[in-house]
Amino acid sequence: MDAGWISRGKGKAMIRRVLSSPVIACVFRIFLGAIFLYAGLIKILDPSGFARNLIAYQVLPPIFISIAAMTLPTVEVLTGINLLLGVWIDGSALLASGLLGIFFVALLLSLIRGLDISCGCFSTAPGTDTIKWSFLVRDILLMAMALYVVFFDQKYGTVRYMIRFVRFSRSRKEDP
Amino acid sequence: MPKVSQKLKTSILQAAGIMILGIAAGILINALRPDQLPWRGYKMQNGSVEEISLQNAWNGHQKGEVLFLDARDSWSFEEGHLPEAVHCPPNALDESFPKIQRLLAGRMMPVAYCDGEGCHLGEDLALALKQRGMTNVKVLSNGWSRWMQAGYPVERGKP
Repeated sequence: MDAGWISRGKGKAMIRRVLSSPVIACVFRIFLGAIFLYAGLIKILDPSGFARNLIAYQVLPPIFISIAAMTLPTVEVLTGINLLLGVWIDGSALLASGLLGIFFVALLLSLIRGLDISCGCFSTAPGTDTIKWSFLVRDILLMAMALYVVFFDQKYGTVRYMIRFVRFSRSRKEDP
Repeated sequence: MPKVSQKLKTSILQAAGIMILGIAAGILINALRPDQLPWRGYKMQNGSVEEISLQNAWNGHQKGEVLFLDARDSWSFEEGHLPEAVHCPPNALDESFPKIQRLLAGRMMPVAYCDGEGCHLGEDLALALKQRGMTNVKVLSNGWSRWMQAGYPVERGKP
């Protein structure tokens, strides 16, 4: 069934154009970067609160709680900074999707077991942000964005891109 | 295909690099901060406290034998707390301890509570009280949520 005024070929081409637009990957990348940076910083500010969150999940054995609470937030922050600046995009987006995958499993297990715990996603305060099934959807959406960045990012809007752009426009001004 | 696997290889190497850097930074930051986490298994506190069941807490309250101690933040306390509860976050115990002693009058049983399975402030508070000699202290775990779910009466207002 064709929509009449738009042929199927045109629609396909449009979808392809949208999918391959460098701007989308750039927007996703910056959005993810900001989220990871924020989530990591919140946890760095309150390590013992985050450790409590981790204990409540009952996923990690007790000996790993400390090391996870120490290092996961800084890994998140570094991933966020890399995504924001556009440095090592492929690796940081891959790491982001991996982390989101781990969070997904932890959330899913806790929801199935009916644990009434704080997510510890964007806040370390106890009793807030209690986990819900909708958090899984949020996680999946973020993961899809991260995977999109892994596969389709064209280095648009990175710091290096901007520096090159500025240099290029300057050289054109000086040398008309 | 070789192009894809090359891309994947670089991605994995970069991801590993970020992880190693992140882990190193995390360990370094932890070593530098004053409130650092202990390396060996994170523990809340030493010792343990007995729990009280919701039913027993309710019965005790009706008989006037139980004094509830709210270990949550003051904002949550104002929003609503268990009847006749005293606001008493563990880090401000020095100020509230004399008041608790006076209210208990040697007869009532102190019952600490917080909200949510993940909140250990109730346990922390009970342990701190135990260390100060209140050996009959109990914990109502996930107290606020369970009390609300049971439909028991609550109070509102400032401490």
